[in-house]
Amino acid sequence: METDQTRLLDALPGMVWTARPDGTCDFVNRHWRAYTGLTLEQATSAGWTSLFHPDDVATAMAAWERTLGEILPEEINVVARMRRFDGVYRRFNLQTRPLRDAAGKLVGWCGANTDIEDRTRAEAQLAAEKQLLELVARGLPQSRVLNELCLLVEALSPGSVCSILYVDEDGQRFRVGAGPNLPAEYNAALDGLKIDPGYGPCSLAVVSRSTIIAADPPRDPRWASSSWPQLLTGFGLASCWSAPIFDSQNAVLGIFAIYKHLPQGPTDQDEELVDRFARIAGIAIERARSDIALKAGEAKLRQANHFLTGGQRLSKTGSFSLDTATDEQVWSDENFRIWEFDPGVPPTMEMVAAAIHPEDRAEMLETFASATRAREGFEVFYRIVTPIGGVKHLHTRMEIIPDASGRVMYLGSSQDVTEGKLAEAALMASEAGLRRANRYLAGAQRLSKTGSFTWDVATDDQDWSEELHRIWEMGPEDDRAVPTLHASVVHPEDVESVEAIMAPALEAGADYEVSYRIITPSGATKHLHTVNERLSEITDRLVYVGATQDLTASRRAEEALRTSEAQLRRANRYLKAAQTLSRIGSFTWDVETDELDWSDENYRIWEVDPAVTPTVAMVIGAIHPDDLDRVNAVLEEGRRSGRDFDVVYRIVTSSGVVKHLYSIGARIPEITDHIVYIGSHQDVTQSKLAEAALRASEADAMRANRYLKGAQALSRIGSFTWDVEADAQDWSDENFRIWEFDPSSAPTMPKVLDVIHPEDVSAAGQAIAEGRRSGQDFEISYRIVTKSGAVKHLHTIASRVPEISERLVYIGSTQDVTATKLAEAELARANTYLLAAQRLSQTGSFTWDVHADEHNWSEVNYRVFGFEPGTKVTMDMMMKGIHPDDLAGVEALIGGAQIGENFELVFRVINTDGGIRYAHVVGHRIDQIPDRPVFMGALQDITARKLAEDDLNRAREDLAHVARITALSTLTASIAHEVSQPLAGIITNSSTCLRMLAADPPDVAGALATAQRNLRDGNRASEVIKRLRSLYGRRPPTFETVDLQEIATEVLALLASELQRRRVIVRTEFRAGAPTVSADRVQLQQVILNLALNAADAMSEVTDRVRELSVGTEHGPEGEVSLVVRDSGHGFDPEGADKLFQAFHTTKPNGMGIGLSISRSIIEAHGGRLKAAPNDGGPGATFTFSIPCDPPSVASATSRSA
Amino acid sequence: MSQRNLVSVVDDDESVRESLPDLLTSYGFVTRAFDSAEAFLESDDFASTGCLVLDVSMPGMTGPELQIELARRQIAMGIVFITAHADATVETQVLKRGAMAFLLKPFTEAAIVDAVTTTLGKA
Repeated sequence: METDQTRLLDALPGMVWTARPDGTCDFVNRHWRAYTGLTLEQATSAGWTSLFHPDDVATAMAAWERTLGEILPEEINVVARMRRFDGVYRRFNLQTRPLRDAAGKLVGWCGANTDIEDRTRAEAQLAAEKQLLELVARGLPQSRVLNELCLLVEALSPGSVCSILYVDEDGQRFRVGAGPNLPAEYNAALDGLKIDPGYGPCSLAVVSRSTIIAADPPRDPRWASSSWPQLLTGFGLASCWSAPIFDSQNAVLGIFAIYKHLPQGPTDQDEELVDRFARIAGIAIERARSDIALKAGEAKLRQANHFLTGGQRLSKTGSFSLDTATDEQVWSDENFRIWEFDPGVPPTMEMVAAAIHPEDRAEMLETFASATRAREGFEVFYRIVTPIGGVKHLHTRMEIIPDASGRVMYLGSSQDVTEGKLAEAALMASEAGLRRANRYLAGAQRLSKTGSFTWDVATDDQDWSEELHRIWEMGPEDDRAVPTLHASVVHPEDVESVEAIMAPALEAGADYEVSYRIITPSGATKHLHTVNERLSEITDRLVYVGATQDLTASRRAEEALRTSEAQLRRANRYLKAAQTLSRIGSFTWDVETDELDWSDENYRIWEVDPAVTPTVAMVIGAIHPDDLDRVNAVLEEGRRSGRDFDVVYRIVTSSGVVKHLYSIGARIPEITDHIVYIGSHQDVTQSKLAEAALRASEADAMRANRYLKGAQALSRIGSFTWDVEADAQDWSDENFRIWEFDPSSAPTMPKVLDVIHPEDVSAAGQAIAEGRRSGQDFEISYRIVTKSGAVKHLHTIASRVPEISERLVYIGSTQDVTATKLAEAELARANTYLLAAQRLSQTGSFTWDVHADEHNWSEVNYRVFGFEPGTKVTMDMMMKGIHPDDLAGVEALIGGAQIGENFELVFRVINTDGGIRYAHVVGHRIDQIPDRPVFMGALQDITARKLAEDDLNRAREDLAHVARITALSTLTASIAHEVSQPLAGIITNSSTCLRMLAADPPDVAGALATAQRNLRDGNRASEVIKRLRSLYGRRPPTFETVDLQEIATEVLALLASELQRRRVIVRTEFRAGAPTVSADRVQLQQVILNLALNAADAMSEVTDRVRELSVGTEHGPEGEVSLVVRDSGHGFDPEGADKLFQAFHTTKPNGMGIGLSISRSIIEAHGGRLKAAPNDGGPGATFTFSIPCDPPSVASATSRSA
Repeated sequence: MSQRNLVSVVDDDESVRESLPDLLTSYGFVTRAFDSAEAFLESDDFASTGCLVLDVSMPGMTGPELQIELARRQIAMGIVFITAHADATVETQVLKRGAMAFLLKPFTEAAIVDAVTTTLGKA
């Protein structure tokens, strides 16, 4: 029975024992014995408490004794650690029950020990992990988390001392992450230690990516040659287990190590512990790294800000960053200066908004708000009012800074463009004034084709205007008697009709008009139209004043019409084109039905919809009210008599424009039963205006033409006669209009003087009095104030009527020159403004008579050259001051100027005091001096701007250099490979060579061949170094002739090994015969290097297709050469193309995000463009840059490199 | 075994392909050079190759890949790896797979001659 029970208990999987009522153990089962390694006897003799962990004995004993003391003992439950046969303690739940017989008497004890070690340990680990992950999540500093981790593991695994080392950023050295209980000296020895698998287990763990156990280092062959075991034991440590710490990408971040004071290996639990906590350390380190990267990004931003400060001061540009979520703004010093804010007070949006000019504020804030909503950058011009009340014009650009947290952060710059704005405004104003004045002058100078005359019929005395002489091609000395003219100049066919009109008019002393042709002395046939009016003041005899207009141009069209009367339609078609050109429209008019038929040009002239059928009523309705009666009379006469007619009149078109038309109507002779006219309308507005303007300036012509009402109205010239003694004045209609006098009451001198401007009245009165006294002709300019309150500038010319000798009678004209005066005043104002602008913008003006070498300079020009103001300058003096590098450009300018070409150039001057000034000169030839080139121009001193640009360019170069070095640093391994290859050849060859020479007999030929190979390989290595040296070096940009294909090939050679390592296949597609470009070789190589490395990076994850990098050249249609870099990588979102080029935008963990931004600025400095596009119909992206292949001219090269 | 005394040099770099066979020849080894792993596999020489001097990094099949391919074809030959690119991971891997040596370019005369001699001695 007892045996059966024993067997049964032995078979139980747990540890079971029994004891007598007094607690003396009388049985332990097989598991118990196996675990403890003791027999019942051994256990009893040692005392069972000896199996317990010393720390747990007291608790267990207390529970046991308490139970024994009870009368009816119950089950006991105690947790205690028990020693295993190998000395290891494990935690057990000791369950002990009293055994009773049927009567309830205590007959013994039975105990079962349950091993809860694993569970307890797991629970403790879980608790520790949870605690650590919470610390990580709370964003505690890495060192704190790692320290905590070590302490927790040390608590979980008594007797352990923990250490965490992480791998430095360069991947070469260890840094101590934590080691709270390791001796400080030992930690110090590990910090900065080079990773070397032969040194110790931590290095080996990193390299082998597996856990390394160094149970007894001094006897371990792996560290036989290392000083580490000695270091270790020197600190009383005996073993070290080291596990690699991986990040989420499975890269090794560092190691987690446990040290022991005794030489020993880890238990399974220890290993598990190490692995688990290495993982947690990985999470902690990775989190901390990303925090650091974030901070570094911010620091970079701050640094970039700092970097910009220098350039900013010079260019009056301030910069700032703005976190829209917190309104946290960081301003550069210059920004504070621009806004005139106290740098000690942090700026807020509220302060900024308050300083914006009230007129710009709402719009500015709206722009800002909508940009913030849309998360995009913007650019805005606006004004601010500084604390002391000054107004500044600012130009602000803001760009979004990519931010992982989703905040909208801006980086921005503000430039003070006040000076530029003022100069701009001044220039605009003065330019407008100049343009206006020019237009006026141009109009005045245009020749009218109207001549005027007076004709005393009885004496045949004629007084011709210059233009009339020109028309008739006759001089004052020629015989111009009317009979002579009729006999020899007037076209024979027309003499009769002219005389038919003249004779009855002369007979009646009436006004008349006549159209006729003349044949001039040069043989030209001209069509003239003469209007004659009798001078009403002269009653005792017949004196006409008249005007003759040369209508040849329009008559010619008419004539063409007449000669082809039979083929009317064809003529009409033929005329169409001519009409459009000469602004002549044609029409037919059936008098009986009043039907009109218009040509296209006619519709255009009258501004009538071509779909509309024109009517006579419509035509009448468009005619200017002042001309209506006259036109009606002409039409009525035509309707009645069927005679040809022509008339000059004004129309007002539907768009409100007033046009002057010259209309001719001729009866169609083939239609005899009723009257049908064919005719033309010519738009003569322009020549009319010109004519009017001319009259304003030609006093001679005016004197003879006073009574031509139509012309007067056009030229705003009124005419008058003035019988001085009687103060009898006879005014033309236009004169009444000018003075705004009532035509029904007679004007008198007191009335006239009454409206003359008070400031001018005495001068005008004096001139009139002088005229009255002497009878001399006079001419005065003055202002009047009309009854409508308008101030008008008038110009009056009066001359005595010579025919009236017995008393003083003046005839004269008064012109309203208000528009001219205003234009002049405006020009004067503009000039003043221009001077101010010139001072502000450091601009001087000059005139230059090229052939005479005469220069008229303003002060700035003298200052630029360093000449004493007022000195007479010569071209020789100037040329001595021109910078030698710019001489060619200046000489080219002079060459062009000699043949009258306008110029613009930026050049340098070596001032007489030795300083270099930059000048920007613009010259325009003065049209008014046609016989030789004389220029008027401006010269701006742009030295300050150039120097600021230089500084900025230098800063850009610095940045580009840093970027280049950064890019190259990623190639270190490949470059070592590139150099090692030929070196391997060289060393091997040298060995071979030596052996060949030492052989008996020496193999000289073989030795020569090997030596030759050495030479080749040496050159190859030196080529690599040379290429690198130029890329690493820094020097100012130098433009030279560059073959894109050649430099791309060089870059690819440098990259060959790196690309091979990354399993990238390179394909080149160089188009033969691509032209060279003028460029900076190193900068372009930097761009190509950058694009190729980006392409390789973009393909690093590609495993399902070929990683192909294609580099090619293309020759564009506009003479540009392109370099195309195409990859088969992950590509990019088409909408993100612009973002790619933003500074600090990066998709790479180690990227600075400036490569593409710098590449683009390099290409743009070459006058080219850099674009990115996702590949069509395939994965990957294509980056292309194009550069114009025309070599830049001297001038632009100067401005670019300066 | 007597016919397996050929030393085959596989390297895409011309300098090595020219210089190394000359040196080894001067020590009395019979050598053959190939510019790629593929060329070596296509030749009949691997049957007689006793020592393969193999570059790690080559376009197309790499040195370690050739090592694996030979193992797959169950062709045993001693391999001496040479490389211009120090990489402890690769070194560990190829040595574990039974490579005889792993030499970093540029290597000394003694190093390569020793490695080849040892390899042929074992073959």
